[in-house]
Amino acid sequence: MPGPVRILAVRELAAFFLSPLAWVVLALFLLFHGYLLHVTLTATDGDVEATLRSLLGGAGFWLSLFLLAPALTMRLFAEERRTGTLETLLTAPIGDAQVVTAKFLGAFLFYALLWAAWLALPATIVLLGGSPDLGALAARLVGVLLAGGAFLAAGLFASSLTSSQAIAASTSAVLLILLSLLSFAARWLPEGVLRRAAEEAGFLRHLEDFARGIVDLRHVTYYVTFTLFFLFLTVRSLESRRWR
Amino acid sequence: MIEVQNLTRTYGPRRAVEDLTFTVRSGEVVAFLGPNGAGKSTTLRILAGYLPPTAGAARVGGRDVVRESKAARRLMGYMPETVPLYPEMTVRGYLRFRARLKGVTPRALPTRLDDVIARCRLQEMTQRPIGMLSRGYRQRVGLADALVAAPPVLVLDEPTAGLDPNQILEVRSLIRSLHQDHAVLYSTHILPEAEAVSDRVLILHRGRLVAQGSPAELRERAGAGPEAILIEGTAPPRDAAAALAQLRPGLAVTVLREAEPLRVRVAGAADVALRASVARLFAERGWTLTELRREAPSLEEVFARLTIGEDV
Repeated sequence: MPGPVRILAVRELAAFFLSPLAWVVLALFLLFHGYLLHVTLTATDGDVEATLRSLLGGAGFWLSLFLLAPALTMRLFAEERRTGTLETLLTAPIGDAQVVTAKFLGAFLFYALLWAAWLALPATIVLLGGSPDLGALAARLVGVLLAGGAFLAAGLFASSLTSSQAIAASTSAVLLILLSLLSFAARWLPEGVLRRAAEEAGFLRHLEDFARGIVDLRHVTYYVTFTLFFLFLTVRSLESRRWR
Repeated sequence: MIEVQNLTRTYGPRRAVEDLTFTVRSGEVVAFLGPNGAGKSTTLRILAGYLPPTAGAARVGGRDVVRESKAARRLMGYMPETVPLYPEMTVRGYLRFRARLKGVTPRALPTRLDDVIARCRLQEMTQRPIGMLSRGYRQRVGLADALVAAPPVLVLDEPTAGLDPNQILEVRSLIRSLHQDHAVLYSTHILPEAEAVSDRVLILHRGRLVAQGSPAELRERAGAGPEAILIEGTAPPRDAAAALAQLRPGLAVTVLREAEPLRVRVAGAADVALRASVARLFAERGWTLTELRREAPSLEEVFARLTIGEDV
């Protein structure tokens, strides 16, 4: 990784821990997933596999991602724009694309840390005598990280459009909801190309295989492409200051 | 070190900067002087690589600020007008981050940090979160950031804005001390400051360069009138006026006040030799001299003359 990207990514990650928001997010995230685990485990009558599948791909998971991605990304550019630090940042010898990459990595690492902390939940299951399929768990986590990366990239883009964190958060929430609605819309569309297209473009369907414990290259490609697309838009949005 | 050629920047139909040409050499402190909204910040932002020019070109250390932007930025320390900083970071943590971002190697880092912290007198504040610092200290952190990678070119946007008089003097002397090994371009709208700190002044008005030169040259060019001496003392008014007029040909002597204390203005020159002659004259005649002052037309006057006639 080029020097400036690594240095900026480390600062971004550290900045999460210097703000109260990160700790609130971490606490709520673990609380929510702990509760979800409890509820799901009860509902499935103690079926560990079904529980983990639902936890890493079910409605509860998506809900937490819809809240998490805007919360983690809203600050990244909007706050720098509001306080003016974007100017000091972009006049340092670092390229726009490097800034975007570093900020994304900072947010993504924090997101990965949340899931590392989440591992305490399956660890508890093991301690209590359960034996989850570790291979399937790993596949699910790959999906969770890839889908999260795509969400964070979309949130980063929303944050680059405005100088208000609140507007950034709501923009990214709306953006993510619209993309996910495609998956639901597909069900109401008549059989045909349009329906196929909506299914493929929609956000949710691609996680299903991961949740089943399968890492399919097509879905990996989908999320990675999605992530790169939004990172590219973010770089363009930063550059727009030049012709505004 | 800084070369600007026919630089123009428009925001939609509004021309913020128009056909600007100037250079700043190494070892020179140059003030960018003009009222608010004259286009100073826009020009400095173009030099810093934050905004591209609409037309014309700018080079820093020979590097084009658009085509070789990163190379140009590597040669420059830039402090934006509002001195934006990250409030949650400590002073030392922030400077360390900025130094590393600007390519200071881990080996050189401690020396560079200690150097700028000492120069900007931040020793007491290194572990404080920036958000808790006063305006004056924040300004110094901004300056330390501009200096931390030891760049040959410094571009400072209103470095003394919002400071108290003591802090203003400190920052001025700091800027003055930088001139040996830097090319410094800083903006201000305060005339005495431009006069006190800089080798050269660029006067910007409505996006155009209306004059440039040393403060003395500008006075001359503006035709702000010759220098004069103001004298206060006790002496017979007519004798004094006559004697003063004979000190040198071409002097215009005006008695401003006949009652005691007498006040006389001698216009035409104000050099040391003439002032010494005035003092000797008073001593020889047994008159009392209570004030002898050189009166130079202020840059304010120069500025007013240079920008007069421009339609408002």
